[in-house]
Amino acid sequence: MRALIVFVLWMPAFMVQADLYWQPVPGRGGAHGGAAKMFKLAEQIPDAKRTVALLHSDLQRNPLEVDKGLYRVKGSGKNNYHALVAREEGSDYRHLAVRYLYFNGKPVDSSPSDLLAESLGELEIVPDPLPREHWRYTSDKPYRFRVQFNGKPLPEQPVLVMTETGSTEILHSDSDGVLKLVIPDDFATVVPGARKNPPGELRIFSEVDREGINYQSSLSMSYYVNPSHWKSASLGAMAALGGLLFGLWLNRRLPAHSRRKKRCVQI
Amino acid sequence: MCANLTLVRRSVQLLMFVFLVYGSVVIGFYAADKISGALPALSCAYDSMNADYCALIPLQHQLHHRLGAAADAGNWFMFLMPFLTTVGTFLLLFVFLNKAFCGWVCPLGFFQEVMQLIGQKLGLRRVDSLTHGAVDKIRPVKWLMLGGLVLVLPALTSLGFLSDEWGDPFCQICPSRIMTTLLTGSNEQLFVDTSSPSYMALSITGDFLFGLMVALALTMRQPFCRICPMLALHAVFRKVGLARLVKQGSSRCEKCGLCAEACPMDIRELQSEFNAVARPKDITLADCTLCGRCVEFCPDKDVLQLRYLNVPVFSSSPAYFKRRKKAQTQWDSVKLIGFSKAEKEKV
Repeated sequence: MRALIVFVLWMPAFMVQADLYWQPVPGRGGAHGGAAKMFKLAEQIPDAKRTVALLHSDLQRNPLEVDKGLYRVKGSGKNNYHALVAREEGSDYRHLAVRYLYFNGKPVDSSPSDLLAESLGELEIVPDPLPREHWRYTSDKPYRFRVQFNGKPLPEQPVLVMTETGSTEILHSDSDGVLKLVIPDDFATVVPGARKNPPGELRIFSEVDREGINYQSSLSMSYYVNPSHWKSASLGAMAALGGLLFGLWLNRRLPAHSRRKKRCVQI
Repeated sequence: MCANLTLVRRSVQLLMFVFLVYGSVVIGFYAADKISGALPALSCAYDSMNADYCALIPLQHQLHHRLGAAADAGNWFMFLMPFLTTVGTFLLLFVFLNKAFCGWVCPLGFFQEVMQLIGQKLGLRRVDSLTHGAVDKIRPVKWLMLGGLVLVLPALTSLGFLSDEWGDPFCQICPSRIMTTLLTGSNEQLFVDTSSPSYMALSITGDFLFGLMVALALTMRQPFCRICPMLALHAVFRKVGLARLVKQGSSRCEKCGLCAEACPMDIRELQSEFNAVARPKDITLADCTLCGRCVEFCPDKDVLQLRYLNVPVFSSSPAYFKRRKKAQTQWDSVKLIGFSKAEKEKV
């Protein structure tokens, strides 16, 4: 009976499992900035026809060459989000792996909305929206993604959410094709301090079959420890209340005074 | 001549408040870093719904992240270029409106005015003015805030003299960060950070300052504006702004002083300076926010003027003064609750 339950739980995960995804190579470039970043493409199909490109923030596309199994993405000199896109095609499958990268640089005319509106493949998982400057994906916070096929929303589509620390969850998009996801707070150890905890990796997979062709899509991203581990809102409210009470006390102590020179009272 | 300059100003403030706190809802989620990225108003980058943000974040970040690296590399261009670009963006916007950004745009300034209105309608005891001695002691604080928190501490951090926590100390204590995020329904910026003693001290100071500002704003006009580093930054460039407050006073000014009484920033020099001059003189002082209240409450014709490109756009006049004073008296007499006996007796 126990084996049956495990099998039933495992089956949906298998059914929506897609393989191709982007994996950052540790210690090569930060989350933001102009430094080069290094990635590898995990779970490739050896004989597949593969194309890898960087879609710049101004929507220009550049093909990327592989070097010893790694893809080096240099700062483009253009500000804002870029999309790292890999496609694998065969006679009966289309696989897509996407990762959005932020680079500092000169401002461009296009906004991240324009980048997200670009079609990268048939089956897509699109952030809705990407985190703005000064924000990033954080554990224990809700985010939205659109699941779409040929640009149209896919309602009730099963989606597999995995983290590299082992959390796995099957979710479904709603009737509008929107996936609502709370990133798991699953870091094994948390050290107080935003810069002291390395990011985790989150991967979202989905899969559909249409007219004999299997479509798979993945979106991967880094996510960070929720600062509520070392930031206390209740203590903050108490400190603000202390300031408020001190201010109300101070209000009663301040002497009445007129600025008009002729009635000036020096205290 | 407009019917009520304060009403016009509050309408502009309200529009700018909505734009700066909730504007992304209208103009798009990613707009904050598209419009200028360096607006000289306390519109916080930690507010996820705003449409533009404050110049003080990039200023501190450029000092924090680039000064040390530039010193190490011996390449000052890599620091000066972004730093001067931010200051230049700020300067460009500043030239157009001068210190009117404080009095007409800043969301924290508007919030304090709203708190003051609430305090007045609740019938709380009003502190009409601080003493001259208190004003003189408070005035240098804004320069310390600018020099110390916005420039020196981030620079020392970048050069390795301080730990990383001191890279953006003004943002850590800025009450606008807490105010704007709370108004978008997020309490994420009201916290005590226990990750290090420095962060804990800064976050407690910020929370306490926010509570203090709210309480003081109920009875006193513009309590935080008086120590705001943005006021000091504006003051540095006030001579190049196109908007000005000018005065051509007379001997009557010595006995009147209604302008100084109307000023929310306690600038008593409005009454005492330029009282016997042949031509109008620029009296846009360091603490001025170009709110125009002094012009509204000056009873003499053309003694005080708000000018743009040296063209008068709003001038004092006896007729306006009478109307405005009557309107103010009526407005002040409306109280929802009378908490203070003294205020009740005034009515």
